[in-house]
Amino acid sequence: VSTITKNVLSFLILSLILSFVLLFIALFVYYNRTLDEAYLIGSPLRNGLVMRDALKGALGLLPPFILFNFITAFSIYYTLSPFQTESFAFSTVAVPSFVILLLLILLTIFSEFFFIPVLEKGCEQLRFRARMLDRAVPRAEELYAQGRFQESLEILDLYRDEDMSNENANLLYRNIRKALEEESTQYSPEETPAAEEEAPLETSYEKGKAAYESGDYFVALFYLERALSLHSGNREIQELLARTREKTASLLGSLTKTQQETRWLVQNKTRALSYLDNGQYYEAYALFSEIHDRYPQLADIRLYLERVRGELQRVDFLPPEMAENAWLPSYDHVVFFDRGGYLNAVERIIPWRGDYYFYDITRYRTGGGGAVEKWPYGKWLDGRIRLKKENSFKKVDEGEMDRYFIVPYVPPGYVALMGDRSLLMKQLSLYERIELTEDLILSGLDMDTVPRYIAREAGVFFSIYVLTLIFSGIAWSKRSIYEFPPFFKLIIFLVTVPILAFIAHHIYTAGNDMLLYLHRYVLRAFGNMSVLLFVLVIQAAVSFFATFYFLSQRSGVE
Amino acid sequence: MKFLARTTLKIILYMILFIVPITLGVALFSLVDKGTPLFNIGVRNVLGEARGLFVPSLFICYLFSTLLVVSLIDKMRVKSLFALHIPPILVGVIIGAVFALMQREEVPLPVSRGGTRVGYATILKRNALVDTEKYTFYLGTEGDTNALYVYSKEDASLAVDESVRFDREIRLDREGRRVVLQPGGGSRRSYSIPFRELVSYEGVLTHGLIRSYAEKLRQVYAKLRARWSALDRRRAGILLGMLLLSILMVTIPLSYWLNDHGWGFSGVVGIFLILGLFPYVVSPILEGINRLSRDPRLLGGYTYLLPAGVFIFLAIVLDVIVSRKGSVR
Repeated sequence: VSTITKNVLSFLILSLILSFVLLFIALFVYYNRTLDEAYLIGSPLRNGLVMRDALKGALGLLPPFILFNFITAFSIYYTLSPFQTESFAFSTVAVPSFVILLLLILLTIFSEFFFIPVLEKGCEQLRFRARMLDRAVPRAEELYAQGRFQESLEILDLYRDEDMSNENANLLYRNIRKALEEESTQYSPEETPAAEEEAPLETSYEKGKAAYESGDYFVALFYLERALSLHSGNREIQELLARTREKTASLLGSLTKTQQETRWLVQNKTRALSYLDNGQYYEAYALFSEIHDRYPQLADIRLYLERVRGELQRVDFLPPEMAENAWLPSYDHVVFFDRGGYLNAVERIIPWRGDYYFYDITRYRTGGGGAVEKWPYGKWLDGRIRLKKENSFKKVDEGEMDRYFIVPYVPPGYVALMGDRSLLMKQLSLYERIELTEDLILSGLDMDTVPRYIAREAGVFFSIYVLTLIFSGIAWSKRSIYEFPPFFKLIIFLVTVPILAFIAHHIYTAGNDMLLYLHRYVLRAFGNMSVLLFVLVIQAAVSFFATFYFLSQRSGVE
Repeated sequence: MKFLARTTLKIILYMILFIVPITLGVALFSLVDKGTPLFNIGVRNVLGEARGLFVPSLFICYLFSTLLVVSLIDKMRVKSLFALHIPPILVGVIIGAVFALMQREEVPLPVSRGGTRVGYATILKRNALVDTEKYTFYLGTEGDTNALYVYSKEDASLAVDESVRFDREIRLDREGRRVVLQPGGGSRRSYSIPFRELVSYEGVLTHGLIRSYAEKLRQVYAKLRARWSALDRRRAGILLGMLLLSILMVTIPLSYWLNDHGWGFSGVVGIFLILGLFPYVVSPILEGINRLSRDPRLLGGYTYLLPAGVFIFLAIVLDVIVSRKGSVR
């Protein structure tokens, strides 16, 4: 490697690094002064957001940044004394610079297609968390005022995980702890179940036995029935269960006035248990609920109901869960089409800890001529949105699946962002574009197809290549090796060239957009010519001339 | 003499080279500015718009070509800075003569009269959700059927009409530059959406920096237009000619000055500096002149020439300074 090549590499790379750092600092200062959304004022996440925004901004400005550095190199650096040797020729600076240019274009491709979308996603997550934190303390205060100390503490902990220095939050935290301590001391020792102080019982049999011994025969019945269903041949369980059934049968006599009622209870419980064992949770829930409503004293039924509810919450939900999370920030007014042919308008979507909650959904089956239907709640469950009006679990008939479930074309994270098209577009990496474009278009989103998107982005990469070579050529032809640039001119250069690079890049990409626009006329002339191919052919021709112009520069000075 | 002829020819060649991209650029900018979605209209409409803006585009092209020639000129061949004004003036005379001849033949070029036709298809995007400030709507078209769904963000309501007709359920209010949607027709609720909210100009010269510069340029244009539109045709012609001359006289020594002292790239990029600073410098000067020219006693019947006079005075001062200080290598 010749000395000049080494010099080229060191000057250009050092200049690129230094100017990128300067650009980043300038953008950091700019965003630090201009990020003024109310939820960010005093937020512990603000600095992280400013940092990411500045990095994203700097990467977004890579094309004019590269252009500026190359103009500077060919205009100033390569005229300095380290390059004034006898062996100097234009090719000795042109070739390494060209290689660096190609590497920088690769970096820009990676940045545009992958890195910037990742940063966009990170920024959005930070913004969401900042909005959540902004609401956390007032919500915790509200819950505290209502005497819901444990819930208040849980929300406050979310805040304190990020910021331990907020005085309001700390004061509230101390008050809640105090209130919780007072609450726990109000319980007298005799009211505390003895079993809780001992080591927790591990198996259903042990729990059942403990309940039997303490006289809770219905609780014992529940656990022993569960134990027997797991170990059907176990004699010990069978015996204890038989004894428990005897006890409960005699107790049932005092609960049920007639024999018919007793039969009803026993038959329904047996059916409900059979549903439960077969995994028919909705049917089991309906029966257990009915029995529980009639005989709330039966502890075994209550326990079965709780168990069924637990199973159902894996595939269904209840509105109280929605109300609990309604204080969180949301993505509002999202409209999209689903696979069932419905147009859905959701007033609020809340993503929280891997779940997605949908509030106030308005649906209309397009082309069906039906009525607009409103649903207060929806939750993302098992690859679709379950809709709900009532505060209970109800099995949906096969024929009504379309009505009770929304099956979007895309996962819920993308659905939530559909209300802000530009935000969603910025977050899509190339891979996501390829995977999701068709589905997003079917969802109703106005976006470029994949070839059109790549053709549009190609304008950015060709802009760097073509403009850098042409402006470097002009800079080289107008250089002076006799003197360092006069101060006044240097100032003009440093002020004007970044702006020139910026405007030239925008004009070039606007020209590329014009090519995309003209493609419709090309279709008329050449039939089914791909927009990407059309743009690449034209850009390749322009690049060829730019390369030719650059390489035709002479080594000497007039 | 040979030098002057070659420089004149160079300016004309640069003008031929740049006139098409500059006119298209100006047309593009104007369309975006008017809220007309470029990607929904035919190329004939774009060309119509460009034709309507030919005169201002020609002026920009003339100024740009002149500055480029001056900033790239070989200084060793320039005998006098004053003589360097002659080629641009010659080109200006040629352009003026062509205009004058065309006007005599009564074939006037339409000035600032865009021929863009704005119809439903231009403004309303079909088969895609369109998000505006207050509403999200969808106009689905399949064969002869048009379905309209409007979601109002204000009250989270969804209005549906699956057999809409244009000019009935959907109306274009061209004067108010808005679309009125009335799903269900008749006495049902209507939704009014300004054109500008319906257009997304993705990536087409929409950066804030570029747009704020355009706004400043428009302010200067409005101030100048207010002056010449109050005059009769002859006086307006004289004023415009003088203004053009004065602008050239100011910018030529400036670009020559930047081209001076060996290191040439500042000269080239200096053009952009001059063009960039142009509206910011001219605007307050025009403001001052406006105040001065309220006194009719100042220049009698020629008060309207005051702006051009001021710029020419500045140009002469600049010429003297640059010719005394500059041209040293």
